[in-house]
Amino acid sequence: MFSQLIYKLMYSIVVLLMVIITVSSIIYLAPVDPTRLSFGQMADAGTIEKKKERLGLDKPLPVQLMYYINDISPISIYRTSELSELPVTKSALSLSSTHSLVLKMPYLRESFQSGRKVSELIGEALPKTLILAFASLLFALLIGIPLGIICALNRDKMADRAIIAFSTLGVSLPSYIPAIMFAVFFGYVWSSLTGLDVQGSIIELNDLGNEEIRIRNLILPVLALGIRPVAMITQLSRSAFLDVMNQEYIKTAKAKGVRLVSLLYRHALPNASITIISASSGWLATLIAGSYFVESIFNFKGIGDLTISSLTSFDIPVILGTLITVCIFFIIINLVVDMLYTKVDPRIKVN
Amino acid sequence: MNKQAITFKSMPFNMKVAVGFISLVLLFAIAGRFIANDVPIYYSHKDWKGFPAMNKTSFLAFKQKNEDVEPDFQILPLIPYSATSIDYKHSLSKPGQDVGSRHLLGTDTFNRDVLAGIIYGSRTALLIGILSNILAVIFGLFLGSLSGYYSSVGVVTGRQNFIFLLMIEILLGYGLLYNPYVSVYIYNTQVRLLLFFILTILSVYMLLRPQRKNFRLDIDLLITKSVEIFQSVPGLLLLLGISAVTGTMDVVKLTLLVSLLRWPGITRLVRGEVIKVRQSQFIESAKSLGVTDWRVIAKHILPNITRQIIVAFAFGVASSILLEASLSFLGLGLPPDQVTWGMLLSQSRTNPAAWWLAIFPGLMISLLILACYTVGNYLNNRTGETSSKEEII
Repeated sequence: MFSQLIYKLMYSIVVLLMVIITVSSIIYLAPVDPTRLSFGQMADAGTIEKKKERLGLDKPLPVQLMYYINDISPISIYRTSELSELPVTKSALSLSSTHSLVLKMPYLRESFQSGRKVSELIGEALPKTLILAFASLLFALLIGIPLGIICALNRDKMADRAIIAFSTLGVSLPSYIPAIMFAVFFGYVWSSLTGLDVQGSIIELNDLGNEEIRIRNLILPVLALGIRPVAMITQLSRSAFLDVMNQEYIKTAKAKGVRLVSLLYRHALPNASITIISASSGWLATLIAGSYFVESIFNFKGIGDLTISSLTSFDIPVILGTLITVCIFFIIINLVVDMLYTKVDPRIKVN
Repeated sequence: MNKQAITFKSMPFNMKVAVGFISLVLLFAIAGRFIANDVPIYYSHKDWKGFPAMNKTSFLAFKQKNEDVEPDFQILPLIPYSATSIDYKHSLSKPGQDVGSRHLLGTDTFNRDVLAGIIYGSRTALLIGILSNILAVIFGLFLGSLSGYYSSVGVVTGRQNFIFLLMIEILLGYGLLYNPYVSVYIYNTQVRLLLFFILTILSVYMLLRPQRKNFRLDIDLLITKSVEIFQSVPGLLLLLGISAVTGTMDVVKLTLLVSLLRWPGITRLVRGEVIKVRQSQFIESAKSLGVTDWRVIAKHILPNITRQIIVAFAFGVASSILLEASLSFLGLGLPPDQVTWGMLLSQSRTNPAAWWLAIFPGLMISLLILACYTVGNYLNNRTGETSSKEEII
């Protein structure tokens, strides 16, 4: 199992490298000059040339890519004279008179626009997105599984039909339509009743200029982001419970006189949870990556908002940095799910 | 597999509704300019006679010359606004605010009629949804059948062919996409990309030409790994990244971008289906008769997997429409002078009081997607063996 994990890790590093190469070659292909964007139209040619030279944008694309990969990899080679300019924790080992081997934290470079370090920007945005994603997944599980159980217990009755109809609608709705509806109705029209705002991040500046945590700003984004997962998990858990409830050991447990609640949660849920886990892990990945709309509607300053603002200002390091972060999360979640499968269902062997 | 023809009568109720809604949108897309337009459909006068909705510029020139001319006969469209016509008096007016004005669904921030916008936007939605999937299916069929057909053996080819192909690819890739001197002559990035794709497909064909064969190329491994790489990136992120850098969008660019996201799924599906069919007896007998590989794929395998591809197409149209709407919603889609549903919807972000901008375009997007899903599900259930929905999407 351990060797499998190592193999998968190596493979995912290769995938990550390919992703970086593909995306950055597409991005560098664009006929846009980021230095021009950062200085404006009135900048003179000398300044722009200097900035270009400093950012390495005057070199051909393959060279730029090599420099970038050298920067983000933990083990890298630098000129000894450049070492003092690297703003990350590092330890160097001199290879020759001019070059040295460096062991360092990945350096994601600095934003063209604000001049801040990309890792700093991502470090501010990522926790908010993670809180949002986990909260909405939790919401989806807490609502979706009971709804699925209700459906499975009342199969083909009125309640089942109604819930299935609503969940079909929920699956086909893109996340920004409920988000906008919620923002308009709960945040604006009925704002005096609900006491919620249209926009707001989880950490906001108050009137004194201090940061404060506002949990209530999380309610509407979680609801909006959770609708699709709720619908999906309802349908999945319905079919999973229908499968399980027809099995012999459930009949035995019923005949033994087990109460309904413990029958569902002790006996049926573990076997039904395999499909639910696989679905919800997929959803976690898409929630982390795909919360752009919800974040930009509610002005929730997470990864999605950062990505979109960097895209509109053509901030290459930030675009690549957020992309790499999201890809790493994709890979980590897939690895964890693979491991989790074998824990939940010992019949599945890691292959 | 039941070969029974699909008739409208034999469909279940929800399928009838879905087909009805799709035909309504199709009608909007085809005949939108006759339903909503700021010029009459038919205009008859002794100086100018014809259909102003078809050639607007000549009619407007005529109108400019002689301003207050009474026509002998004219047919006015149902809605007297086109999507881009600006009503200076009504900014963000509610649906049916004044009895005199005929903004049935209100106006948007640019003083344009929402109903006309919805009618004109259906053209963009359907065009991108269908065209991008046609492209993706062509690409996916090519790659998927190659990878599925040669999955166990690999392509046997001449070594010199393979080296030739590699060199051509590197030269083409560098020359067409990154070389500044070439880009001076072929300025249009789309043309360069198109040339690159055509020459790539040609060079893959070159790889298979009969020659001294001494080299086994595992084409399946190459294709499946590239599909895997494409699928390991969150698709929307990739689309956002590319669309932000390609400059001003048009329908062709957007179609290419959306199909870029669709081909990996279809390639995977086709590969699986081809592998399933390849093991049957009739393929073996065709091969033993000496039928060439291309002919086996085209004449014997592809007719057997058309149903699955049609199902994937129906689901794919839904997700392409969703992608297009998402991009316009974020302001990275088509420019604002081309009205799309996503763009109308995105205006409600800045004007929370304008609920009609949120509800009507949102309803259209979700209903069209729902209809496509319904059609896909229906066709999928008819094929007998149901493949899981997740896999197709």
